[in-house]
Amino acid sequence: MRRNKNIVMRTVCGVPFLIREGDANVEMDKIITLNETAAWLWETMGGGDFTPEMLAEKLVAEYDVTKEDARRDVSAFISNLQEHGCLE
Amino acid sequence: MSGMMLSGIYKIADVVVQITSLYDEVQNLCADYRSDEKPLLHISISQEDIEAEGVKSDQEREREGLPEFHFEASYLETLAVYRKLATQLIPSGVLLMHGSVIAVDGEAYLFTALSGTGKSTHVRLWRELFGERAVMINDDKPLIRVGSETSIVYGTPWDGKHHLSTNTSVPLRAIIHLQRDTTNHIEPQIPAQMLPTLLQQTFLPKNGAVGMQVLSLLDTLSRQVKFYNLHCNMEPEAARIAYEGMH
Repeated sequence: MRRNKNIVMRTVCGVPFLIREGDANVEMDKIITLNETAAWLWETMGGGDFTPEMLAEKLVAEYDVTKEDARRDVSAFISNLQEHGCLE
Repeated sequence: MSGMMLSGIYKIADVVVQITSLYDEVQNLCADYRSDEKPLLHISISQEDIEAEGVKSDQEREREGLPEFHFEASYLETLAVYRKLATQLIPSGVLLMHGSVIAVDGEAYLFTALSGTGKSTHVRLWRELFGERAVMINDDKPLIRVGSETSIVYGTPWDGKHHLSTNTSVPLRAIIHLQRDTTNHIEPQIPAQMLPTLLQQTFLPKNGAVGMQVLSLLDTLSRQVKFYNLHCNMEPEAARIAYEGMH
């Protein structure tokens, strides 16, 4: 899977969130705010293909979490992104 | 309805605007802001705009759990005018934020909260505490011009049910999120903590290519003003504690 290239991360008042690029008509209920880990995961996905397992491994390397917790966090984040059409 | 269009020119937030309306209520509302300069913006209201405003008011009241209420078309027109004006002002860096604004010694404080929390009551305590040092800028829907160095808050004709406002502008020092409590205390907030409140209380047009502009203006604003969270009761000392907590 990979990131939807039309979705970009922006920061307002120090809060990172995802927004559809070029979508100047922002609807507040469609803004997806991210916490620090989620923002890091989004950056880490980069522009290319990735698998949840790849992300979980990187998460373990970067943060002090167990493999099990990393897999669970990545899976939850990916479901959330898919629900909002942020992946393709 | 008379079938005649009414028109007037006003200067609001330093922008000269011509307002063409079906009823005279909005023209009377704006009377203190009359101007003889050349208008930069033109706002004209149709019957459809007024009907759409009625639908929006109904939806809002339902969302807030308020009973149904029939507003007069002339009143709905005042809202329709402000919606159009606020939308057209965004590209000039002007935001409409719901809140009660008072200036003390030439610096403005904007209190914001959900309707019915007691913003106006708290600001009344400030007027009583500071007397002639205080100027009521706007009790309901002020405009904020977000500049590169400072942000300025303006009085506007849309000033709440007690019509408390002054046709003036003052640098905005702080935005305070107000919560009712039994005791009084105030603490600084970082912008990220304040963002949900700012998004909730800032006018964001549903139709219009300006959403990102609003977000970017809020981002700039957050670097120019201080944010606080105020817990307060309705005793006079609430105003003193709030003021001292910001100085």
